Amino acid sequence: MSIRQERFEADHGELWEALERWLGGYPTLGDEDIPGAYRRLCHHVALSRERQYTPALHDRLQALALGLHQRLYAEGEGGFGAWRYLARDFPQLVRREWRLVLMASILLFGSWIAAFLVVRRRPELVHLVLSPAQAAKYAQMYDPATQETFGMRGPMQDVAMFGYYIWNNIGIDFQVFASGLVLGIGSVFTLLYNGIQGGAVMGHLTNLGFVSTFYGFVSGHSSFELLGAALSGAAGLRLGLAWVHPGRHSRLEALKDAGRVGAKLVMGAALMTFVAAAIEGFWSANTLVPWKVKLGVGLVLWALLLAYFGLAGRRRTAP
Amino acid sequence: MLDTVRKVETPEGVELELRPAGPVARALALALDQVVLWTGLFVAVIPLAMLGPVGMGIWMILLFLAQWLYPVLFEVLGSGQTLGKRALRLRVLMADGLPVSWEASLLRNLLRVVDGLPGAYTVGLASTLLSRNFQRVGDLVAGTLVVHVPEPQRPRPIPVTPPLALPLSLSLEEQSALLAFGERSSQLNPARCEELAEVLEDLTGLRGEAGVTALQGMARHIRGLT
Repeated sequence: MSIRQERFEADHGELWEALERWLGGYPTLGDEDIPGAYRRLCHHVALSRERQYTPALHDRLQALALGLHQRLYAEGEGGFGAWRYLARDFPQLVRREWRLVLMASILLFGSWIAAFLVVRRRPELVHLVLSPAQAAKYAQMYDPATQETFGMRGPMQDVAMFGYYIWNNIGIDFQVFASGLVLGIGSVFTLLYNGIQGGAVMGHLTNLGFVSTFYGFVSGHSSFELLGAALSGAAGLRLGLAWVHPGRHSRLEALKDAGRVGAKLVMGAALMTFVAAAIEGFWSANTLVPWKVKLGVGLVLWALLLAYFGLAGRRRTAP
Repeated sequence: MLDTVRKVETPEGVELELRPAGPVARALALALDQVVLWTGLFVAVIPLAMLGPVGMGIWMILLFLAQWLYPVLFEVLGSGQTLGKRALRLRVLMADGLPVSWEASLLRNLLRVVDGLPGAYTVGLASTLLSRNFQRVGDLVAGTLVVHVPEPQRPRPIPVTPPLALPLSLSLEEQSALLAFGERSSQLNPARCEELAEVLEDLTGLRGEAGVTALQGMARHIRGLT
């Protein structure tokens, strides 16, 4: 053994102690001295292994080096960067993944429109999707004659519904995304199911002539809720696609890539669903506002949201 | 060698050792988290019920946070530890040993949906047992690891005996065996110490307590103690 352990510890113990205390939050070393001190420590780790010093010393140096490694190479303090994400990253990501977003949108909106048209043409076919009891329940919910009770939900009830929409709808976003990992089946199924169900209900209520109540209610939150659902579906499809079409990567690498992209997408989708829950909870059931105004607001929100995805984050930042 | 040590090479060229945690410790941590969350939700019901529908709304938001975001918030803001992991001294890290990122934590926790299939974390358990570093599907996709937090090492002194030069030159491995014996001898009972020391009777030429003392002296010599 070239240098006795005791001598080695005596020579460098001071440095190790200073580093340990620095990790504990004491200003024993200036920040500018840390990289140099860390490199020396790494050298000591290598030496202690090479010279087979005792396990106790080895473990101490290992723990110290790991702590410093984590401190030095961790991502910036900025953390999540909510503003940058919303102003730039999220819309850019949606544009970059436009093929998947388009695919998810076709599944959701295509089946929605198809079911709507079928039920409009052949009203009795609604019972393929809805049981008579369900159909009656929807009819009763949106019947202008019962509108009084429906509309006077009151602010207390609004909060309850808001909570329910958050728990249920955002939970569904997350499930749609995660279940995409199973070959995308979960995502495809949920998108189609919601599309057919939604389209059939819309056709059914339009057939019954409950236009003012139904469209007045859904228009406000429809943009955020449906696009949010489509995006979480797209995120799930990305995961599923990584299994069957990993491209030039190994399947695990492809999944990791898909996971990174998917997590960012589903985060945005969850935020959109959150906004939808707020609108649905506190605005959509409001009957004091004429339904045509609510329809107008709904259309404006659609336009704004689409403009956001089309335009936000396009400007180059100056170097 | 131990197969539960994962080595991560740093840019400085040293290898850091991580010790991935197995399914039992992780299941206990998970169970503990669930107990804490549901106790909290249950207790919260009582005052919230008095608020009527508003309380109901708040409770469902709490339920949402508990189900989906609790582990993410704790892992990212609480140095990789939910309450259950803290109790079992486990920690979530990126596979390269760095603190877990927002994205990775969100991803690994959302994918519990898949790990939970078809019930009782069956997929997660299978994946944990089959993958090299005890990773469930969520960990594999997010590139994360659950590791044991290293125990702080108390220095173990070698009993004070006069140092003794080695009678012949020993290999590094043999020297570290002597060192290990020296450090551990204060924790073993004397009879066991003597038994072990007698294995090296050829080296020391002594038996009984004298043999133990001689080996401890050699260990002190190797470490450079006086």
